[in-house]
Amino acid sequence: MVKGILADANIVGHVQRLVTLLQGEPWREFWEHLNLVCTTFVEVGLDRKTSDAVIWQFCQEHDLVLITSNRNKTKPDSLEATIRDRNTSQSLPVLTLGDADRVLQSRDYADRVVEGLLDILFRIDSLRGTGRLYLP
Amino acid sequence: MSTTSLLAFCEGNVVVENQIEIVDRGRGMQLSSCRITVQDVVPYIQMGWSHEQIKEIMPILTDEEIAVIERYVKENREEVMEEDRRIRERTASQRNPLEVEKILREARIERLAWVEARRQQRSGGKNGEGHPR
Repeated sequence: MVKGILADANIVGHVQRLVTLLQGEPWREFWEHLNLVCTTFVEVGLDRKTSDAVIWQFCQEHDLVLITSNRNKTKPDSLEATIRDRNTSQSLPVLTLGDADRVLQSRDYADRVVEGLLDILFRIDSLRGTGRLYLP
Repeated sequence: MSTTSLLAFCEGNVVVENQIEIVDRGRGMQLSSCRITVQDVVPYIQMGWSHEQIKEIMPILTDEEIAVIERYVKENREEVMEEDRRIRERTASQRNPLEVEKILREARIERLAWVEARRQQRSGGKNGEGHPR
């Protein structure tokens, strides 16, 4: 298992929304069973300018699953390059939230993201080495 | 003026440094002062969100940084919105590999079974108290 999830700087409020849902019904008991922390850059002491490579490495070293949004350049970005260069069969995947603003606007969509997130976290060790996974 | 993030000038004994700019460091156009990109904020500018609302979901941003992004979007609107359209199109087509989806389907079955087992345990416990055999 892992220790928890780290919200990228562009998605803090969105992850907070998801955690709020996880702490309610019908997911509360299972979320508590997973016993994961949810943390942010500020809480773990990462600088606001921290590069993708440093964040990725930090997450690997501290057993945290990074959640980020997907609104970067349409060409392969530095996170993609980092994963390509450093990913091993034991590396934790980066979770990418495809439609971040929709999490805040649609309860139905947020629920689907929560379900997908729980499935991934439940089986996270089977998903090591997959690089990057997409939340609905 | 160079495109680097440092602007220093002296006026009397005052030095002003680190003007916030929009730069491209390989992640798309972003702030020179932090890792937030223009496109991270575009959906909320499109929805007419206030600075306070944007700072609530991206707390590392300052009013000044949001204003720099807003100005950039205004001055480059066509290009920014075209990029937004391409991003949304790309997002809609992204999928996990089939083998991952198989693992996640199995995870969901197992997870829901765990929840149901706990529910039945609780029901069984309550029935046991009130209905001795």
